[in-house]
Amino acid sequence: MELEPTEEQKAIVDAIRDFAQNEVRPANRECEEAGVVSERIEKQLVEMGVAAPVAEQYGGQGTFDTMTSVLIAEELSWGDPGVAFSILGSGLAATIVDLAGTDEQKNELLPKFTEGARGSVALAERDAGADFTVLEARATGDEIHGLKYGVLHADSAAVRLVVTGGDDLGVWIVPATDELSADQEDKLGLRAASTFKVRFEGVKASRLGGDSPHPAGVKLALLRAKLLNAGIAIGLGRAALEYASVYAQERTAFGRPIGAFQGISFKIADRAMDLETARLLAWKAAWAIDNDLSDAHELVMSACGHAVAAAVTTADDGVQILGGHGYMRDHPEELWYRDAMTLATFDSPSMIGDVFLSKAYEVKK
Amino acid sequence: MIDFELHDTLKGIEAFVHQFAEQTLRPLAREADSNGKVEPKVIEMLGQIAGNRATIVPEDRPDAGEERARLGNMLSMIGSEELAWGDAAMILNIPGPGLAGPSINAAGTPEQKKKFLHDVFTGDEPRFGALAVTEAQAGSDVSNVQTTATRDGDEWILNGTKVFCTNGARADVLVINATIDKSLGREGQKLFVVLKGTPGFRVGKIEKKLGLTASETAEIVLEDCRIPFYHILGGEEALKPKSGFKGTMKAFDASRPTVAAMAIGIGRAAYEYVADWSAAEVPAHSRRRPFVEAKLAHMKRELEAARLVTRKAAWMADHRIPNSKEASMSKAYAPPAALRACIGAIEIMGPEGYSKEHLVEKWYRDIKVYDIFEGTGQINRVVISRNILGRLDELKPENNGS
Repeated sequence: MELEPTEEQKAIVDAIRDFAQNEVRPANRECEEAGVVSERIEKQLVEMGVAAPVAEQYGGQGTFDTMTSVLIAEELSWGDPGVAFSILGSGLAATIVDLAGTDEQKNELLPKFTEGARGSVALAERDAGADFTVLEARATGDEIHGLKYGVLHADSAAVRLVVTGGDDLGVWIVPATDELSADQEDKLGLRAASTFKVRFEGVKASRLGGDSPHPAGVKLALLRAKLLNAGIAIGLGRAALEYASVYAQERTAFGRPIGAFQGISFKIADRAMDLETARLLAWKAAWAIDNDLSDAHELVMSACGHAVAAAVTTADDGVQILGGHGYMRDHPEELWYRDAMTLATFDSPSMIGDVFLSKAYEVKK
Repeated sequence: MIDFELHDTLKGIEAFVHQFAEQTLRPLAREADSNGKVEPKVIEMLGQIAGNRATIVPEDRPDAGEERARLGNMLSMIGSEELAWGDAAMILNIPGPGLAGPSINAAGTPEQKKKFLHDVFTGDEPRFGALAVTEAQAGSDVSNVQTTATRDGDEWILNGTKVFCTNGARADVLVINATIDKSLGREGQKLFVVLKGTPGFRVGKIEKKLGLTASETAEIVLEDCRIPFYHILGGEEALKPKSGFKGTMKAFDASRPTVAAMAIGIGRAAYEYVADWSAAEVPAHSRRRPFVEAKLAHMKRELEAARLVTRKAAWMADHRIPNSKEASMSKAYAPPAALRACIGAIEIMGPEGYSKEHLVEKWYRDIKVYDIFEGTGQINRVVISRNILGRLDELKPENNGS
């Protein structure tokens, strides 16, 4: 067992961490209020090759393995979870095309990302946020029917994908010129990520992978997508815990820093354990994907459930430790509190996560 | 590179220990629990299989190769989890230095390590070591210990009463902490070695407990117990300020993940047992099935989380990275996770769960103490939060201790 990232991974983490601290965190309210990631930040992340990782043969700066992408997600989300969700969710379209597209589709679509185009993946449904094996959206011939939630950039993306269920997971490319029946979501958190509810009623699409679709590639890409959410949850949790820990040392009550009271310090210890275990689970899941291990699906579900639950609890404790100040917009804890629960609905809410997770186990026979 | 694959050496040992746990320990677990002891002939057999030098924390053995030294703590995690999976109480009856091992290793001079560990525990006879720290009014607050050590020329005179000492009654080598000067608080705390048969040393009450009944827990009474001066761990050096207490805490950093690994072994035993039971006893279309499946999934996830943080603590120790925070995290996280697994197992099995026909009720009793001994969950949270408050880099992924 080895827990030391590679030199290359460390360099990437350092670069993203600097960027998150100097550019993203200071702009968190600006992005949230605008309902979109600021042009300046988006442009720089595209230039860094982080927004949409594309292989060099398609004009990009190279793709990342799953482990690296999880490390990136944590650091970027530490800056702002909404920005991370918007940017990495957009880039997910590139990963799906890369893993499941034909050569022709890759040649056509991937170079667009290197020029800063946005991607959009319509995946989540009302009853299938946590478990993409029970999707209700269907393709009949080349027509798509279904209702999707949390669709990023439905108005502006140059590459638009829809995921359908049935016997096999299918991914379909919807022409960017088509008008979609889309309503922008006015939502609790992750407001820097512009998302839509999209109704597909017989929209014509072409299948990713053409005549020889690659469901295993799609599944792999979606597992990686879920794990990005775990990474975002971990970054959010770390941000909220750090902020509350600083406050707990500065704020005094009854003549002592409130961190000296166990009602506060035990919360900090508990959330630190949640964060540490969530990170290790996510790393192990990433390692399992990168090494093509059979329990990758189960580990991804475990990591997501654990990380999202940790984020929700940590953000709650973060607001609580700051007390009245935590409730005010002068501090970012209330933003993380809203972001965490929004992220949870896109992923495995801790209340139901285990029910979905159990499907991955199929209780030992 | 981040890699969760176990070293081949560890995989081999894991398989070997698992076989021993499954074939030797598990079948004897119920009888030992009912009798509240392990028969001497079984102890002898356990000793033979384990080479009479089993230790529940790693030793820096002079004969250990470099590779072994780098895997020592991880090896301890793997072995402890498997052994406790077999039976947590019986393994405390495996001859060896027990918790005296890490204390002597952490605080002893080379001569003391040779005399009290190497010379005692390398023979063919089963030998036991024990650590007596806790007193009736001093548990996690080790600095509150009342037992005194008074110097008298070339000797120390020990006076006091220790409680809850695993294997204390049969220990050949007993490590005891005592204060040489109460006014110094925890700075006055030092560790001493008392050998079996020393006049003034006697065994008091043998405890009757909720669980781990097959492990003997003794009260130790010291009445003008005279030991040679050189039995103070660390020798003359130990009399310098800021030396004694640190040794005790260092020993905890090594032993806490091991205790966590044992807790995981118990939790895993319960999880695996009830998963098999459910597959056979809960019909696929039963209304209980979704509850059972969700419960099992949650148990498994928490046990995996516990295992990862525990192994991280061991990995840090093997790489000589200070791991006080992670050691406490493993100890604070794993036992409650394992307890929840035991609770879940009983809930799923219903009345079958509390029946002595199954071991689940025993695991539920055994597991409770893991959140208490070697530092309660509460004192470990104190350690964790002290490591974070004032040192926020600790929360970053590359946190490498303090």
